[in-house]
Amino acid sequence: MTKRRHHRITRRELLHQGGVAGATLGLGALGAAVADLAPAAAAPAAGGRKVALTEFIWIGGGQGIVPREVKASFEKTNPNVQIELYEGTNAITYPKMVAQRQVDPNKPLINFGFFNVDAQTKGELDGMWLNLDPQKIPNMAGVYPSYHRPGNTGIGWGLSGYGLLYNKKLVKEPPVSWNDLFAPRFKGKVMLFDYGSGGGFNDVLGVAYANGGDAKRIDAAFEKFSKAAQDGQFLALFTTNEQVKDSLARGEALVAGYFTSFAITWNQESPNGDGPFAYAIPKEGMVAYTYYFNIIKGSTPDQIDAASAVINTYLSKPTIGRYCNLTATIPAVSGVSLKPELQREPVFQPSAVKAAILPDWTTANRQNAAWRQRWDRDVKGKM
Amino acid sequence: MSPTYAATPRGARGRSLALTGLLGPATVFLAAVLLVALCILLVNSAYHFTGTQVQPTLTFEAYRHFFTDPFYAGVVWQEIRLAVTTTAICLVVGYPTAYAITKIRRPGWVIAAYILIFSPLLTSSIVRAYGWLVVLARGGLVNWALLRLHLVAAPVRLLFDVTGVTVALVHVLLPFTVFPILSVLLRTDPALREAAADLGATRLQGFFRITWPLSFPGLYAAAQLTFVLAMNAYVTPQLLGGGRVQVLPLLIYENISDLDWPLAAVEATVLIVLVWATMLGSNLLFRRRLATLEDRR
Repeated sequence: MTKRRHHRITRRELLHQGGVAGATLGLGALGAAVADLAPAAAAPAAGGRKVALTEFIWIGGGQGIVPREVKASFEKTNPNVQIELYEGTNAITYPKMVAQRQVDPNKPLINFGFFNVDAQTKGELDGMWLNLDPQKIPNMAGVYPSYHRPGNTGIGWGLSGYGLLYNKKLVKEPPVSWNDLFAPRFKGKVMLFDYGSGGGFNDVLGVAYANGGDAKRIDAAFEKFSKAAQDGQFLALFTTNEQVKDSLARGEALVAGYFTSFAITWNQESPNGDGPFAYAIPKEGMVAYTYYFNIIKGSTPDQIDAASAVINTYLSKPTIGRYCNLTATIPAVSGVSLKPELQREPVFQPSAVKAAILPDWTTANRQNAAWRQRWDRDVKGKM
Repeated sequence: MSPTYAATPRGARGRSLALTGLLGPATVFLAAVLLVALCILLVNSAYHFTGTQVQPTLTFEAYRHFFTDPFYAGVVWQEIRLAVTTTAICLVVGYPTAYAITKIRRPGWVIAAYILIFSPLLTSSIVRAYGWLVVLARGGLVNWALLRLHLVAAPVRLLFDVTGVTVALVHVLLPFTVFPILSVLLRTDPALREAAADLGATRLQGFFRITWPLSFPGLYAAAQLTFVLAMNAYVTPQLLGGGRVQVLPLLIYENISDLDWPLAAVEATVLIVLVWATMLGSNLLFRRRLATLEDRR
């Protein structure tokens, strides 16, 4: 029971999560300005000894702003620490980390950084992560309990809701269900994130859970996608943000399964903030896609000390709040201030978080390669 | 005065030493890198994948999986068709282009032609692919023109399909086709055509009896280069294929991401074998063709 509880988040935990999200929004009310970054710890990291760290951060969409601020601030207060930022995607970087471990397990490619739930679970199954020390990262206490991983192999800091994006200027009746991906009114106008690029499995899982299945009962969902592909339901599979953004904006695609946060940030980028993008949270629930901090095995004790101190800085309420505000991410740290625009967004509401689908990622990851091949054969092969 | 190494045995030895000295380091370096990489690839292809991890146990199951699943045969077939179509179009478009450039007399126009032909290489493949996204879309430039000219009644699908990928590949690979042909055509002695004309050959006869056979080495090199690059294309099928164009480089990338490295290694091995077999086959064909031409003389 305990084991299962650690790997999957129960309904009760979800309700608790919703409560925290509510508190989060409450604390962030009245348009509180984004606070300055939290000051780094008073004692020098790694006992003042010289240490070089490589930190993995995500690329694009404002993801690099806060990491650069944290790096500058941390290096200023800890002149003995040098942080090199390694920008990339989980899908590309994680295999490189595995390859480097084969070359030399004591010289990891990355010492610490941000990883999504897919990489987090891969790393758990693969023994990639070190156990985080709550003594060295006291701000872990502020993270919502269901975002603590078993053995502290990672610590959650936020999540994105994976739902349905659509062109609000062309779609008068928004999609309401995962099954709307197969609705005749959207025939030939649906785009899906390609499976191998790290997103398509969210669509499959969303459809599975919406139709009484789950990560262990996925067949019906694959059959639905396969039939729809053969019937010409899908315009294309996309692998980059620009592909789906461009297709939705021009009306070539009307609906796409994707991260809801992009509809928010893309609209903000449009002139007057009036872009054509909107998102719908399926009535069966959005898929909660969670993000973690991890430290990689093979790092030296000094690197672990310094990385822990940096993670602690990130987990401070002002820092994580700034990150979430810039990237439209739902924080997993309690008491974080969000800007009013985000507070109004449906995806940030406690009810949406409560109702979110939290797939069994461990099962999903064990099946990942097999499901990807099935996707290639049964969905892509029939388009 | 030019050196005459081959005139005496000493000269031949000197030439041989000079060639070894010039070619040796690069050959040894490239061969070593290639061999080491191939060995790692072959060893990885034989390993066992548990679903989450690669285990260093020799099972060869990835080969069994690849060669018994008809899905992969379909992918290989689609890839060969795409590469052959792209190469054929590039040759049909590239040869007249190269020939025309050799006929331009004004240096300014020659430079302009070079810039035009080689401009695709001045931008990154990703930028080019995004450009094609705009041009080939249903509401894009091509469909707009087709509709305005009443050539189609409704926008046609050019994007997220093999058509768009082929068009974009031709665009990016055309310089690689033109250049080898152009370099051979420029080396052709104009006196040969003049002699043919003096002996009463028409321009067309002069082209088909002199220029065309002499340009074969460039034509073969262009075909080989274009085919190999088309077989290895990743960005264009990825961004413009929309999932409908499945080729081995895409599968290799996906399997690496999934940590299914044995299957990725098998796919890479198959791709290498396909490319090498094509190169070898075309070289044999080329030699036979040359021998036929020699016989005719």
